[in-house]
Amino acid sequence: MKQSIALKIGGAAGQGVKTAGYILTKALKSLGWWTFSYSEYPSLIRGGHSTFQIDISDEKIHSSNQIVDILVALNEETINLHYEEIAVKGLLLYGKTFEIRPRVQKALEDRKIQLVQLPLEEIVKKNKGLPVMENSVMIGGMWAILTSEYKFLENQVKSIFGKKAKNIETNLACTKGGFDHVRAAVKIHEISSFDLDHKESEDRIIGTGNEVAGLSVYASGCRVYCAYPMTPSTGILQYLAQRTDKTGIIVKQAEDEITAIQMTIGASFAGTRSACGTSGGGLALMTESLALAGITETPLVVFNSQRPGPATGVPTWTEQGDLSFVSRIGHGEFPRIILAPGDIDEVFSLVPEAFNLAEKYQTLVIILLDKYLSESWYQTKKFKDTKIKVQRGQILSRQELASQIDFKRYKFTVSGISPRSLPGSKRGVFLANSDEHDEKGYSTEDLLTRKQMMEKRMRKVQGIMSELPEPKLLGPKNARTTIVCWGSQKGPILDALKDINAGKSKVNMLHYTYVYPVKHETIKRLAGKNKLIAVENNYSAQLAQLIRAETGIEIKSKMTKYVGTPFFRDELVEALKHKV
Amino acid sequence: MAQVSDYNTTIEPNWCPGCGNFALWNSLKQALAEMGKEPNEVVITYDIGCAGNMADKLNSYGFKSLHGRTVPVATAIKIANPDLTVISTGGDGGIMEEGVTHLMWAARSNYNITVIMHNNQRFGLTTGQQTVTTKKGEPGKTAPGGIVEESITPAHVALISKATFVARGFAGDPVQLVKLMKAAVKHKGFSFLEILQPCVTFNKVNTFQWFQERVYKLEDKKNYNPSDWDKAFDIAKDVEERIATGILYQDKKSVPYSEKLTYRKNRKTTPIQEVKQYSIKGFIEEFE
Repeated sequence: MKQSIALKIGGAAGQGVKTAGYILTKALKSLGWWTFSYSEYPSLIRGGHSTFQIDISDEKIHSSNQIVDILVALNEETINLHYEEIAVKGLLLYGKTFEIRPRVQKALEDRKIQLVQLPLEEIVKKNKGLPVMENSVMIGGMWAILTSEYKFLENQVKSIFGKKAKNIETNLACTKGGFDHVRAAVKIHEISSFDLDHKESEDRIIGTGNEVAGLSVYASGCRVYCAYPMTPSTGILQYLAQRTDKTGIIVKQAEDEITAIQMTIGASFAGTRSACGTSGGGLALMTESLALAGITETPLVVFNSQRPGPATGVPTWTEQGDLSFVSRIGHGEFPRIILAPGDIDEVFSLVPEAFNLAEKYQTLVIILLDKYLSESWYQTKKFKDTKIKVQRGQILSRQELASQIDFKRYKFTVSGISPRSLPGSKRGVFLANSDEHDEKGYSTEDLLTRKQMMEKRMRKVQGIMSELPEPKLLGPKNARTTIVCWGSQKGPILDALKDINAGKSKVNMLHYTYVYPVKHETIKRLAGKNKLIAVENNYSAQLAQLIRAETGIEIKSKMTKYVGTPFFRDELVEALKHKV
Repeated sequence: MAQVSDYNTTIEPNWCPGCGNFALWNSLKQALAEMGKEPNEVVITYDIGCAGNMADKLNSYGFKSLHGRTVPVATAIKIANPDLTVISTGGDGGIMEEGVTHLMWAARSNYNITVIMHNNQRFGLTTGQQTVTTKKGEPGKTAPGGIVEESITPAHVALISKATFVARGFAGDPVQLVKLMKAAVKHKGFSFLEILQPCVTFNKVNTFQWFQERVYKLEDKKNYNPSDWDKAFDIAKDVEERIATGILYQDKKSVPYSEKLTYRKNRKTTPIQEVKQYSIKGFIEEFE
């Protein structure tokens, strides 16, 4: 990155870490700076330690650094847990009453870290505020380290706190108190790189993968969304549930994942667009029903936001651990499409495509997100209405059905796609059947029909294969080393490549958003001339395994991570240095 | 006007001779025809097993789901297209065992669908294992010494789950069955109809004759008021000596699920008709 600053806020869950981080992120955007915000929190409501990190840059950024320039401690624990992550000549902002252990103090001094205390209580008292407003003081203090442009923060505090807080004036006074105190205390000249100026910028937005998924579900014309809450997919359910007054989408929180998926299938069979969202464990419960969608050829869109498993795993952390699972999901064999967006722009454009593909091929489409993409705040150019039009595939109109004498819903066709009728239509009556069936949908144990029906369904894979695009080659075209990756880890790798290459053409990346079926051409071409390195946020390098299974190409060099955190930018740069 | 024969398919039923499913199948066709429903206006969902084998013998839109999942798939078909008449069918194995939570939640949601549960107190198609409705102590293929678990009364499950219509019929009385099916379908909200259905092959205890000696009709009983939930619960208890059939409970003021969604109150369209591309204007601003 040309210029970047990383600021980490830490505190106890329930202390307002996320609110503070969110306000700062929004204020930074209005100041004209690019941001990427990532949070870590435990599976607890109160107590437990949580952090919110904002990476700030003068160019688009999609990743976090492991080493931070500024650490903001809302409690003592934060200092003890994270002091080693502060960069040399970095800065620590903390409450005046916090005690720093001598050992920590020495380590901070050795690394020339500037310590800035903030008398939270005093400033609150001076402004006649409530104890909870210590947070506002801290927000003002943090902003002071970053910039002298106070009004950008003030506007955000007003618009975010203004809605709920009664005493917004007192809150603002506390924020200003914190700001002024730190501005006076900090030796800005020593850390001038932090003094962010106001930049004019085009219209931008900030959103998480889950929020954008919800927005895109709406834009795609999905009218029924069913789910059972499960971190980290719950954000989609909540986004949609909180906007039903405006959207009219029927949002159903079902009693379990099996109901959610069965309802999604039922609504789709009835003829509307529907979707559901879950995480690995919930998807495991849904698997039998996914096979049902396969055999009944019901269009089905499912979001799976991954978290580290197996079983309950580490619920609030991130991993790309479900690719092997979903690429083979469901008993028996049926066509499926797996999409894995790499950032919110791709979420926005792939969701409508998922609905179109599901309806065109009358089969299962899984969209793979993970906690990192679902819950991190990306900044990007403001979306325009999607260019991807709603395409509903082959649905017979009432007129077309009127001429049918003996409608065959599962007619044998060359493409494997049989035109469908929607329940209610005259002359379109059919049975969607979980048993193997004939062209009418009636159960059959005639083994020739079984063979033909199986082949009809599987023929759809050819159409899918020829329609889906190749993975994208990003970065310098003539680099001789190629990182092979997929989904959410696009951001960290893309950002790291800028540092690794530093103007030269050493490494590029092949990023898969259309993960399955696996395309052959590009990977074969690259395997013939480049060194390939698989970089994946899982234990086994699951995409590399899938590529080997489907194309025969073995990617020998692998970098995997499965501790619950994504790849960090500096961590990648360091590790790849040794590989390239 | 639809005739009963319009509901036939080209497939002949293959249940055991004398199976209660014949009466059930005929009554359902009769009820639909009498209500003036056309086959294309009706969706019937099916479970797995002997009950599910009706799927290709009844000409209407159909969805034969997985074992235990006949109810949830039906609920969404109805909310997606309220113009359809949606009936969910299945056996005691599918609805009271594998999918019992679906029944409970569908009832408390009060979806405007009808669940018809064939109760033969056995798993039929898997050749006669005991189910949750088999009487305690009776031997079964997987409990040769007699089952030790208590049996559960389906009407009770429906009642405690706040079903707004709970009825019980008997496959040996098709005239009453047709009436009950019609009443259940016409009910605004969730209706549950249990049908006592002798399994002639695997249940030698609860035979047609056994039932005939025990069933009585609530409609013959003076002063039975189906709006009294406590009374309904009480009268549903006896499944051994004097077995009540008819409408056990009905809340005539029931408001179905879709009508309770205030956010859709002023919409004249169905979710089927609403599928189109939507502009993100009015939503994208929140992200700014």
